[in-house]
Amino acid sequence: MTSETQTSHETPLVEMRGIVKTFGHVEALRGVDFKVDYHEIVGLLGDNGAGKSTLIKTLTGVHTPTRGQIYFEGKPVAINSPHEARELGIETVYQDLALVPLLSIARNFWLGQELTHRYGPIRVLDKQAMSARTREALADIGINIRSADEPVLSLSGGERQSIAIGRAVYFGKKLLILDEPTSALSVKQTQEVLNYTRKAKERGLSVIFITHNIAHVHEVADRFTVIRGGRKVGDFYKEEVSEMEVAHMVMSGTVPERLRIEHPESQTA
Amino acid sequence: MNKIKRLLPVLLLIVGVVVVSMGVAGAQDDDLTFAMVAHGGVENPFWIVVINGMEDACELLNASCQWLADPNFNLEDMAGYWDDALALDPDGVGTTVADPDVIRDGVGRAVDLGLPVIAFNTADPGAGTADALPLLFYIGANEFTGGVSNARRVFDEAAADGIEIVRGVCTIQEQGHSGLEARCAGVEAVFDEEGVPIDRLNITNDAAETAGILADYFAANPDTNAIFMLGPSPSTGLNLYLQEAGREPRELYATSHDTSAEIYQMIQDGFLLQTIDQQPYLQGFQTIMWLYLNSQFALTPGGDIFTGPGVIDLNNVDQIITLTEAGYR
Amino acid sequence: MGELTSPAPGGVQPAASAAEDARRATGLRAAISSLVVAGVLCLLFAEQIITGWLPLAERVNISRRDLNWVELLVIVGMVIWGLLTLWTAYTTWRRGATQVATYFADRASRPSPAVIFSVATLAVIGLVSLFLAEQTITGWLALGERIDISRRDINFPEILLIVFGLIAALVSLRTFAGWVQRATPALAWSQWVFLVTAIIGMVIVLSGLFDTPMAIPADGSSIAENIAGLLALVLPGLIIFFSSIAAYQIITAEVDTRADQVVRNLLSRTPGAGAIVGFAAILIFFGVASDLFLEPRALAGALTTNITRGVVAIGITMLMISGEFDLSVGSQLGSIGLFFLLTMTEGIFGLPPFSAIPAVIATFIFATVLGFINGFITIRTGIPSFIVTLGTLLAYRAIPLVIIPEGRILRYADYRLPPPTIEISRVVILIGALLLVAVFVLMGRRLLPRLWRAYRDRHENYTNDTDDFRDLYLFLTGIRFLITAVALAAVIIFLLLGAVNQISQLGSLLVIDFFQLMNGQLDFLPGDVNLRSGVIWWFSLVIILQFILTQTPYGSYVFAVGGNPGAARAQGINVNFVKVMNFILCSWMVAFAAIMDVSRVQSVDSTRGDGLELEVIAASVIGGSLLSGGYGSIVGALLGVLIFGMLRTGLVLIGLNPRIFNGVIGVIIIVAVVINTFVRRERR
Repeated sequence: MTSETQTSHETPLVEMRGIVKTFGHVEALRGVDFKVDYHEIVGLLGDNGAGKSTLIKTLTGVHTPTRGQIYFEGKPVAINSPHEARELGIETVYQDLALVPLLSIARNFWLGQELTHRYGPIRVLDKQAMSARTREALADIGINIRSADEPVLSLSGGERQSIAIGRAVYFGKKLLILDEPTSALSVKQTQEVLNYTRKAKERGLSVIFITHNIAHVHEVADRFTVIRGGRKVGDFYKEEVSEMEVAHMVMSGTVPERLRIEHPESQTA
Repeated sequence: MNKIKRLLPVLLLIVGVVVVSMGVAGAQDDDLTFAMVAHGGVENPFWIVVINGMEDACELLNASCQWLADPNFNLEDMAGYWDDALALDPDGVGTTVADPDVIRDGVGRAVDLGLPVIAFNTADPGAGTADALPLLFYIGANEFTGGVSNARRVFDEAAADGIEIVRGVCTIQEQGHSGLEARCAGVEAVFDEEGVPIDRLNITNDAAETAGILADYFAANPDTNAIFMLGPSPSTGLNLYLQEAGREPRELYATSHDTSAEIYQMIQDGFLLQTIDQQPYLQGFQTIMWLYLNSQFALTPGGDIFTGPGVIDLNNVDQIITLTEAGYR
Repeated sequence: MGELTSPAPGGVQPAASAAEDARRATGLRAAISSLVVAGVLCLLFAEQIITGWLPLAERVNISRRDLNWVELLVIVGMVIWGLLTLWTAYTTWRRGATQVATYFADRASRPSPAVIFSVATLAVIGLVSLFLAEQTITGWLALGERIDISRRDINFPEILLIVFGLIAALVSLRTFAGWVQRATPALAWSQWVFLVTAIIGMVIVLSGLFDTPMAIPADGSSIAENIAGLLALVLPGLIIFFSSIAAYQIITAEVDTRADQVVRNLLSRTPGAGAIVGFAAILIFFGVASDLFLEPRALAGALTTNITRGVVAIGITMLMISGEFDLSVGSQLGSIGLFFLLTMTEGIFGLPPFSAIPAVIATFIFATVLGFINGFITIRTGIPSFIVTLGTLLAYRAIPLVIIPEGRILRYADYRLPPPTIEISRVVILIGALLLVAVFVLMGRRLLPRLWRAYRDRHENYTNDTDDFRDLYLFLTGIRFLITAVALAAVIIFLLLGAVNQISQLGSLLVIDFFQLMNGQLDFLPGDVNLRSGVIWWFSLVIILQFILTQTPYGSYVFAVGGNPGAARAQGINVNFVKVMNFILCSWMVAFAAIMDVSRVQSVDSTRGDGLELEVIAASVIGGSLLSGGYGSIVGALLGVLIFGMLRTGLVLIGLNPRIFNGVIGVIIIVAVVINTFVRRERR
């Protein structure tokens, strides 16, 4: 299922142009351009209240933008509900909303699209196949679990995020959005999640990694987009910019002098 | 001045409302108002008959009457219902005394206001002692003598059949109800006199549940041959047990209290020797009448008025059934 | 399983982690102290027999002259056992190891005293079990009186004892042989033998304690003055308990598998661990306390009395797993029961009275409306269902209050109608039976080859199988195949015979008494066993809904909706639909219960079902359902209800004051929930 995305594309996977979102008199987004290329991990950075989650919610259909246009695989789309986002192949992994803690790993993995035997109108879970294919799918991106019949409860926070990532990879999603996946995790668990994020990219997905802390994402991201006060501060490839500079931008909202020439669009910030 | 002019219509309006409402209140005062506070109500067939008695009496007197009680069964709420009763500004209050301490405050306030208070259905257990409530007198069955009557009947019938009562059991469906405990106490007094052991068994108001408990009890105590039920729902449970266990009439000497279609049928079928009818209609009717007589003419009877035990057995059950259909029994 | 932690020969211990060392040291200490206690108790037992169980003050002449030969035998046995135990304790303490691992690893090594003690314990357990079974069969008669060896009047508990005794003897003696041959599977097997024996020891102690009031003379002497009497009752159990615990600790101190760990893991897999423990404890307690409790009559009574509670608990459990409550089930039971009765007798909404089947359909429609109202208000307003259904608890109760004229008991018999019946054409039954035969044949064709293959695989790999319990697995897979095959064949033959029976009278209609069908006495049982067809419906519903919960996508949705609504919604599950559906399902269960209740009691009064809501929620919680949703099991709720039923029956049977019933239930709820929470945490 990765074959079609292996070929290179001129157009980005997602392009959001001039997105404005107002809530009453409050302007949450003031014309943001944002894009994600194929096979790319984008770190979406910003302090609390910068507008990064509003931006993502317009992409996942929770909010509809007041102005602006979203293009998915080059085609203009209107995403009116989370369901439509899922249909397009956009999977969001929320920190708390990913899995059902007391349900087994396999049942979580297949939740909503269970494998079943059919007996007339009755559908009976094919538990063996579900367990086996869950283990295969997770092993495929490097997650080894003892048994898929254990409840998710018995897993660590990092493992839970990883299972959700594995699920998105397995079901052939195109874009994976991770919302603050590592903010509650230990250093070791964070490392695990970053590894699986990289694995997801290798399997042909693009990833948006939302965080307020550059340290969480610097290692895996190809590009950073910094947002502050509803405006984009700048867009930088990893090679162009140091970790310190990005952290500074997130805090102050100003772009360092040496980068302004290469990125004329960030002059406005 | 302008301000006063503008206030004038408002003042007039207020005065008008006060005058009219006083008039309405005064008009109500012409009618008599009586309140009856009890520990049970419209969910229980027994109380329905008491309420019928009350309503008939009030209609005769052209009085307005209020039944204040939990629809099913509740002792503690009676304090609140007493507050409601006094808020009605009544001419007299009737009350059950399921738990004297719950209503002590309310009764005291009524007596301070000079209102007559009569106990009905359940008497004050502290009557005659220093703890007695300031009640005029009691209208209702004597629960204890009802229990005695039932136990005597059992021993008499068994003796007539040439059978010895080996062990008895008294079942209680609502724990902590002083009237039910008094019924069992009456039974136990007779058994102690005869020197026959008697058990107490806690059952419920659910027929199926009661049937199960009875089946277990008789498995553990197969020699028990006398059983005392204290109400309609327990008797339904007993009947269910007897049918399902396939027991014959007179294998168990059984009696009940109060009435229901099932109890009448059990008497006709021979499963119950008798039931004690406390004539609930009288309890409602007479309480209102005596509240009227006392509040208007300060009349009192010579002592408590007993509405029971009236006995229903094979001799009079058919006549009772017709009266029940009319709502008098 | 059964892998030894110290495979190195010659007793040289491999370097182990500090935690491992600590565990081993604790195990060793526990083993030694249990041994000492058991030894002292044995000697005390022997001493008491010699001195005649007299209170201390009365012991003028210490030794008795009138010992009979049984007593002599017991004295000798106890002294030997006590000395063996103490000697084992001493040597184990001196060596600082039980050396069980060495014994199995090194064929040339001499058995240590601890090994000898374990082997001896196994032998004793095996022989005593065999003896018990034999004596039960022959009726404890002296040898001279055994004219007719086997008894004819063996009752149900005795059959259990015989079967159990024979199995225990077989297992212990086989394990004994395993120890002698130094075969490692014997280690795992003997752990189980010792664990079970220790539990039995505790049961014997319990029953001894229960007999205390009877054994202590009622002449005013207190237990303190009659310690000897108390000892006589509890000593045998305590000796069994401490001896087998000692043997268990001896093994587990050096071997890495622990039977109790396996049990705990198994329990933690089921939501109703507390219910299982409570169920077993109550069954054992009342079984010991009253001879009548394990009789079919009492068990049937406990089941029959709790049909309503049991069926409603199924619905409430489904609803609770999906994160909602229904406090109105008690009021619904009253309203729905009344609706059903009225539909058949007076007719509803001006319609003429219905016959049974249309009445049932109308009743279920009515139940759907009640459940939908609960669900709709909860979903639409977002008010917690606890509050919404508290409202409908009162509102639905008003229905029977208003409708039943003057609150009387409404009886089917008062309408002078014939019992309701269902008339079915025999052709329909014939077709139905044949269809069922086809289904079962199909099932057999799919199932039996699979089971046979499982058995054959076990059989072929038997010699290579390294599992400690390979004999057991082989046996179980074999017996599973056999039982399935026989059961399927029996059902098919039964159906075919039924079908043939129908052919002979094809023209006539089959008339079934509806009340009998729903909740009638089962005819084939003896008259005093009050088991009703409602129990069969109840258990069928438990199986069906447990199946739905654990084996279908809908079950997954129910768990997900209760456990994490956000995640469920994110995966495209219609959370509101599942919740409303479960409210309706719960009302359907209430309707089922109401129809069965009316079928049995044949009357409705306006208080029917009062207080039911809290009882079924309690049963559900005992059964492992979380009040917060997302977890629970229907089978657990079944056990919760059975605990209710057994408690009530048991308390009446032992003649204990039933006033403490609610108190006991309260304690059970708390203990069960503590156990449930504990095992859930243990698992993480």
